[in-house]
Parts: sequence; C-alpha cells; structure tokens
Amino acid sequence: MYEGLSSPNIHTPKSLGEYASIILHYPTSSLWAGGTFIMTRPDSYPSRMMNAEIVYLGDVEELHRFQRNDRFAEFGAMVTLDGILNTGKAVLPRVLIDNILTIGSRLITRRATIGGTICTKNFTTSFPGTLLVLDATAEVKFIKKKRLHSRWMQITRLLDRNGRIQLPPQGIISRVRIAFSEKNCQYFREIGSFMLDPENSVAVAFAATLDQDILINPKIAFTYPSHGVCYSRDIDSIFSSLRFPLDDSEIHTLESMIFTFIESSFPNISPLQRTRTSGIVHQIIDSLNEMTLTASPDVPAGYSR
Amino acid sequence: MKIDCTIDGKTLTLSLNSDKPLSLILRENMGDDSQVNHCNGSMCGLCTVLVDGKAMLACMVPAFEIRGRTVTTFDSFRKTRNMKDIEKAYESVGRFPCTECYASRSLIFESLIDEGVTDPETILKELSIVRCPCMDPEDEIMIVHRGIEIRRKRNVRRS
Amino acid sequence: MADRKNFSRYNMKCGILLHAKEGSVRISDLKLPELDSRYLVLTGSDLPGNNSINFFGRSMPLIAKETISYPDQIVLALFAPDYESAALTMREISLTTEPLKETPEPATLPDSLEYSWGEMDDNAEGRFKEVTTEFNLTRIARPNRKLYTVTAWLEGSNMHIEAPSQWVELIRDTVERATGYPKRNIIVHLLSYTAKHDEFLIEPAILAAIAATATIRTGLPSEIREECFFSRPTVSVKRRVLLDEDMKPQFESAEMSVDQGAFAFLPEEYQRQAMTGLIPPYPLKGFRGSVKIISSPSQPAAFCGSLGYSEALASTEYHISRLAENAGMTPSLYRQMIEKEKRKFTDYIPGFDLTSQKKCMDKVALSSSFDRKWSANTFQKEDFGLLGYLKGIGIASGAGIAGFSTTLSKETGFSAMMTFTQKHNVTINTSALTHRSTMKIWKKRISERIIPDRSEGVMFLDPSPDTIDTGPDVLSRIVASFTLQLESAAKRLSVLKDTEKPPVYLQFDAENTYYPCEFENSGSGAVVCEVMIDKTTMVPRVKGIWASFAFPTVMDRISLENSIRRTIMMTLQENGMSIPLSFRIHVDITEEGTDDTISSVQQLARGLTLGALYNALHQAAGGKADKLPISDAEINEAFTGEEK
Repeated sequence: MYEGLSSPNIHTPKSLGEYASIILHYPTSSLWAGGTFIMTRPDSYPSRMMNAEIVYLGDVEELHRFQRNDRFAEFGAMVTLDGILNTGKAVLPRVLIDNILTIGSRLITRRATIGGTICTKNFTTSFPGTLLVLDATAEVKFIKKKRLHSRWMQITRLLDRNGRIQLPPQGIISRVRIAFSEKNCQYFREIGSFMLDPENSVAVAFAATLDQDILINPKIAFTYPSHGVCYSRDIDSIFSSLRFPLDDSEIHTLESMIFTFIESSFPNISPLQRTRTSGIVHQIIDSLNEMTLTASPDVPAGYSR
Repeated sequence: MKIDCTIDGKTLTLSLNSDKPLSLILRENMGDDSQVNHCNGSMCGLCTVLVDGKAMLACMVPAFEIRGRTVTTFDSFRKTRNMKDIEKAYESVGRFPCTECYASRSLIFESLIDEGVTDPETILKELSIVRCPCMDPEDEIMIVHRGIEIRRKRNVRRS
Repeated sequence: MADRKNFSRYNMKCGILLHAKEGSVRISDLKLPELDSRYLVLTGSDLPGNNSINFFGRSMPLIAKETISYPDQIVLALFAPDYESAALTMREISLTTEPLKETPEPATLPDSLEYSWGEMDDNAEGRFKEVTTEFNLTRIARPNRKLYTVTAWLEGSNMHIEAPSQWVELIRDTVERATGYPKRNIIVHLLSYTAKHDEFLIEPAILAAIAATATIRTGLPSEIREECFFSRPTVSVKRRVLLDEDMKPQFESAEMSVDQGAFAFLPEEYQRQAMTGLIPPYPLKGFRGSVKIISSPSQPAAFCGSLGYSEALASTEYHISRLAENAGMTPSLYRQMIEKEKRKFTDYIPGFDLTSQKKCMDKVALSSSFDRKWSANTFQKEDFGLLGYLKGIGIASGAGIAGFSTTLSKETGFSAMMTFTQKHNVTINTSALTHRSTMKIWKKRISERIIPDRSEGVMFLDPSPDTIDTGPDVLSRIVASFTLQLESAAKRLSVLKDTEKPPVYLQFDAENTYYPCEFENSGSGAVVCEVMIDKTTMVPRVKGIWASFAFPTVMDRISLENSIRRTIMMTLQENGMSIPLSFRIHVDITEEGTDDTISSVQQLARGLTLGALYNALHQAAGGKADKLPISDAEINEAFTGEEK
C-alpha cells in the first residue's frame, strides 16, 4: 500500500442517529451505498479525490426496512433492487419491475440499492424517471442546526432545473414510498446501455389510467444518463387532452411538441437518442391506440408492456 | 486499514487501502492474476467470485466490505465437487467456455445451479454480465439445466 | 517449464505505461513531477541497447522518442513501489505535443502485389455488362480490457522474464537488443494465455524489454501491467467485373488496399494471404488482382487472426452476392450457375474440387431457408415500412488455408527436432505446442506412428535456451502447417529407428513439405447469417447463424465445434452486432475421412462469418451502411442523415 495515499476511514453507522453524528464531525465525507456506480467509474481507484472519510450506509438498520400496507410499499434506501423484486414483484407497479428487470444480471441488482440509484452524481439512472411517473415520494434526511431533520418529498420536487436529483447538503434519501398504482397503462423501455454508452441511451417511463378513450393523470419521463430526467407537466397535460386512438397527424404533432420540450431542456442529445426517443413514443402511442381499440366496453383496458 | 477475511479457506489479516477493489486485492495481494480481471469500469464480467456463496463482481466490492466475509475464487472452487458437477454438465452438453471466461462463467453457473434457477430468461440475464462472446445463449441454458439435474442426482445419492 | 521465482511484492517495482493520445505529432514537452528514488521513469532514450523491436526484418520503436507515430504508442514507462502510487503519479505527468511540421517519412512498404491471368477486355464495344463493387472494413483498434502482466527479474547471471507470449523467441530477441543481455541468459517463463488474435505476439516482447531494463536499473524485480491490445487494419476492396449476356463473369479486376498503420509487420506475407482470398472461385477468362499496403498514423495492425485471408475471402463472397443480385438470382443458385466442379489452379491455391464446398452451401441454404428469406427480403423497398424493422440474410462459402505461405516458410526456415532416444522414447524439441490439449493430441498421433500404445513415451521438451525456434503461434500454425511437418517427421523416424542405433535425431522444417502453391487448401465451409435492424433501437441484431463445415480429419469434434462457435460469436461481436437472447448457432460438421492436411478453423470460420454478415447487413440496410464494424449510431446516421 502506498504511504502517500491515505487509506480512507470507513465509518459504519448502525443507526441514522449515529450517521448524523458522523456527518456532523466529517461534513465532507462520501456516502457509500451499494457501490455499483462509484466502483464502475474509470479511475475510481486509486483516487486522491476520494474523500478521506467514507460513510458506509450498509449497516444502518433503518435503511434496510421494507413496509407495506394496502396503499403503498415503503423501502429503506439500502434495500437492493433484487430485494425489491423478491418482496414485491406481484404487487409493485409493472413499470418499476420492468425497470429493475432491464438492469439484467442479479450480480448488479443484488448490490445496487434503490437509494443509490437515485443519488448518483453527474449521472442519472433510469430510476428517478420511473419513480417520478409513479408519484413516488422520498424521505430526505438532512442536517440543519446540527440536528437531523426529515421531510417527505415528491421525486418531482427533488429534480433541479437541469433534470438532476438535488438533495440538501449532507442530505440522504432514507426511504422511498411507492403507491400501489391503479394506473392501467404502464410502460417502461430502456434502449442502449446506460453505463457503457450513456451518450446514445435513453429510458422512457410512462404511467396513466386509460378510461374509455382518454388518459387520466398521465405522466411521462425521459431519461438521458449524461443529461438528466426530462419531465414536464405540460407534456402530461397534452397527453390528458388527447382522445385515443390518435391518427398519424396527431401523433406527428404530439411528437414534435415532445421534442420541442426535450430539446429546450437538453439541446445536446445525440441523433440516436432522438431516434430512440421517437421510437419509444410511437410504441407507447401504438400500445395506447391498440388498448383503446381492443378494450371491450365493460372491461377496463389492461396493462400493456 | 487492517481487514480480516477468509479467502479460499485461509483466514487472513490484510493491510490494505480500505476502498481497494477486491479484484485488485486478488490480483496483487493474492497473486490470482490469471482468473480475475480488473477492467477499470468497463463491466467485462471477468472478475466473478463467490462472496459468502453468492456470485459477485469483485471489481464492485471494496476492501472494507469483505471484512469478516468468505471469498471463494475459482482457484479453490475448481477443486470442489460442485465444480465437478459443472464440468460434467459442460461435457454432457459438449460446450465449454473459453479459457478467458471459464472461471467467471463457471462461478455464475454454480450460483444458478445452487439456486436451482431454470427460467431461461433469468439464466441468460444472469450470464449476460460476462461479455465474452464465446458461448451462445442456448448452450448456457442447457448447461444450467443439465447441471441442476446432475447436482440433484448427486444429492439424492448422498442422502 | 520452470517455476516463477517467489519474490515478495514489497520488493518489486510496479510499472505502468503512458500512451500517446494521437499519432503523427512531435513531443514538445514531457513534464514529470518531482520523484524520489523509489520511482523510475524510462523514456525512449533510457534503454541501454536498441530502442526497437525487430519482427521479420521490420522494426518499430519500443518507446516513442521524439515523434509519436500512432495513437496509443508507448511514450514512457513509470515504475513505482506499487500500482497505486504509479497510477497517481502518472496522472501528474503531462505530455504536450505539437503537429509535425514536415510530413513523416512513410514506412518502407513493399510494392503492390500483382497477380493475373488472361488478357483483360476493356469492354470498348460494350459487349459486356459492367458491375463494380466495393467492400470496406474499417480499423478495429481497441483493448479488450483484459489485463496481463510481464515480469522481469535477475537471478545470478540470468534475466528471467515471465509473460504470456505467442512467440517466445521474439521476447528473447527484443530483450537482448534492448538490454544487451546475451540471449542464452534470458529465460522466458511462459504464462498461459488465450489469444483471440495476435494480442500476445508483439506487445509482450516490448513490455519484457522495458521491464528488463527497469530490473537492470533498479536491481529489483519489475512488473508491467497492461491491457492487451489488437488492431485490425482498414481494408478496402474494389472490383470491376465484366459479365456476358448470361450474367456469367468473364473478366475481373480486384484491387485491395490495406492500411497497416504506422508500422507494417510482415506486409509481404499479408499480401500473399490476401491475394489467396481475393482470387474468385469461379472461372474467368482474365483476372487482375492487386494487393497494396499503405501506411497511416494509426495503430500497427499485424496478424489479427488471419493476416488478410479472412478479409479477402469475405470481400470475394460479398462480391459474388452482388453479382447474384444483379442477375436477379439468389446467391446460392447463382453460384451453381457460374462455378465449375473444380477451381482454377493458381500460384496461390491449388485447383481443388468444389464438391464438398457446394454440399456445405446446399446444407446451410436448406436449413436456413435461405432462398425463401433472401427473396422475401428483396421486397423491402422502403425504409422500415410498416413492420418497423428491416431484415437481411447473407451467405458465404469458401475453403480453409492455414499457417504461413510456402515462400515465408522457406525464407524463415523455422524447424523442430524429433529424437528417438536410447530408452525408446520420443522427444520433441520445439518452441511451439505449448497448449496442453494440443500436446495431448499430438502425443497420441506421434506414438501411434513410432511407439504404438505408449503415448506417455512421447515428450515435448521443456523450454530452455536450447529450445529450437519453431516460429510464432499464430494463424493456427501449430495445428495446421506444422502438422504436416510433424506427421512426415514421425513417419520418417518410424523407419529410421529400425535402421539406425538410437538415439536417432531428425530435424525437420518446411523444406520438403510444401507444394507448388503458396497455400494448401484444406476443409471448406459455408455460413448463413440473418440480421435484423429495429427501427426504434437502430441496433443491428443477428437473428441466427447456420454453419456447415467439411474437414478431411476431425481430431476432436467437441473442441472443433466449440472453436467454430467461439470464432463466429467473436466475429459478430467485434463487428458491432448485438446478440439477442434468442440467438442460435446451428453448426454441422462433416468428416471426409481423407488423410489431407488440417486447416485453420478460425481463419475459415472468421472469413465466412464476416462475408455472410456483410451480405446480410447489405440486404437489411439496402446498401446504405456497407461497412464493418458498424455501430447503432452509424446505422442511425445512414437512415436519418443526422451525424453525431
């Protein structure tokens, strides 16, 4: 071991109280959840940038809790994606399950945590967008006046102007609450590898209730890993004003509205991301059109993947 | 930082940088540079080890996380009876991973066989982490299914 | 094989390399941080001997001195007490470069290799239909992110090197030239390796020379860690063919241009191998072929698994499919129309029977429903249409060759020695055959000839300074052309052992083994590849591969099939193809039972997969994206016209 490179001190708080006192002592320490993102950055080791203090959250018991009632499920931030699949595959919204399944190997999902996937630095995973369309809320713990405070916030409120998740200084997400969605149209698609080809990959999450031929409370989020989450209530409103099925010209108009918004938020998305976003939008509309046309009058339109 | 752990059956106290990836620990400190790769974040999947019996990518496990845990690399796993089952499965299907990914694939096969996973999609997703293109998907599914059969027969004989 | 010395890592220098970011530039400044005595920096001028690696008469600097010829060239080696400090210190080293004021002197390259027969018709009277085709492969140059190490240490008067290597003699030669250490005192301990291409041919020798220098300078064992690297050259083949009214080719010219990068290794052999693949299998009244090697400030490309035969074969197969398209026929039917029973005898490949090749093609065409799918796909007129995807199917067939050309084998004179000992055992002194599985097969084959039922009596001598250099372990030499030599030597020794008193020595080389052509054909095959491009993802996916091969002898069917499958998968992935979970490879292998030579499976399977893939991609993208490797972004650009 190189003497010039000081080995970071590892703090392993057992409770959030302990976490708070460590953070108060070492305000610039780095937080470590599953490590799947940190460890896969090129040149992550050795690094002088890595803080001398690392707070490992894996031993905080509160962060591993999972609760559910008939309305929602609540996950501690350190619950792994595999843990979520194991505990709630049957009851959780499909859009979330599909998002986790897209990650692929359990060698990753066994380590990646729900809190960690939301709080990556300068990189956005597909999870904030998915949680956003599910109206999920997160409990944010932060230090104020040397005390640990907590506040439940909607994921939309955590997004800054640039589409990145922004937490208060020294703040962490401790719990994520996901309502058992009654939305019958849920769609998730990720194209390209977020980790290996962030400049060309895109994820779109969509959730809404299709009632007869209109969408109730639709939400759509576009995620570009190196840019952020692109979400707008205006796009949601346009969706809710539509009557399905849409014809070609309506699809074209909707698509151009969506792109006007995306490009105003992220002017530098690559042509391939554009093509892929457009393809996914078309798939969502095709699926909504199909559901509208095939739904029997008595049976509400069902889930579509 | 001093770290107590068990690697390949040996109880060790290692003096390491606390955030050093396990893949580099195994290569540099344990001298296992033929079976464990360190791809610097390109997710090659060629550094699989068993940590407390579960397959993990060693490049994602920092030193401080192996405190008190048991790490099994392919070097010791190859001598076990479980590996013999996997070898039998390879022979029976007539397909072998290439020498580059033999260790990683075998360890992932082991974790799938141990869990008894038969769903083709789950098998392929689990193995998709190994990006070496030497095996086609159908063979991978067949090897896991055959491995489960062989393991079951062995367990029945033993009991 | 001698064991690695067991020294403590605390007493070792750990080295990493600084690579250049761009080529064709001059080093204007190299700023180093202040370093204490625990560190050692080696630049091009710090090597005590010759700063160059010599490969078949051509050389390249080990470390760039004043000018950087290509991106990724080694600029400096930094040795530190551990890899952490080496990596951190390396980040503080700054390299400033400036463009070269004068154009660098191009590497000395051989003249274009020309081969022809018949008088070419210039089609002045317009009697023939003229078709031109172009086949392009762009450079593949990327590390496969696999780490390996090369270690050097001193023990008495010996310099020990531990490295993976496809040519041990090159390591010893390079270390001797760089350090002045006599070759006899350089002992190489071979690490096991899997070389998909030529990753461990040249670079380990360079690293060994640098590590040995560090060891001499510090007196401590030195290790260098590096990601293995290979590079496939940029290849372009332009063909012009004149067809008669029946759409049968009559006259053809083929010009192949190969960019071997900043330094050319073995360009003459590349030309011979490429020409062999370039000559079409159908009869022609006149043919003109040329293979030109050019240089550019890019990574030197050496063998890359095929030394040009695979690429040239793929280009020929692509060309035939385009001719079929012009004739309005499926490629399999068109080939039946234009190909005869036997190929024309040329200086490069004999006039062999095409029956087994045709059988292979019929098999794959039938099992993949090639003709039906090809015809259906030709109806894809508009981009993507209503279905939201485009499909393409391609076919390729050809014969296998292996090893070096007759010319090179005779020039180099690599040899080996077989001895019938006093104890009635057989020993073989060769630097080749280091792979355990191949050795096992050979022990069995040799014992059958000389000492039946006693394969344990056949021994391959451990590497030592007295080991005879049998040449590089590339192009399947050890299972192909070397096979002939071993077989023939075993036959001769089985006679000699009864007439002479043991020990009986027999040194053998390529001298008496080869035929009038540059290469012997052996084995043939055909591959069908089906590709699909999805409108939403723009990802080129391979739906399936159907392959059929026929070989004279099959030593180990399972290993052979595994090898074919791996080569196919690797070729697809290298060329940017995505492999879906439903992907399947159907392989059929026929053993013809003749006592012919054994060919290189990799070269053949690689060339055929490349050709079939190129054809399939051409059909799927309607000719808009005719190049390999191809990325999803490039396919998107081809269809939308939007550049990144």
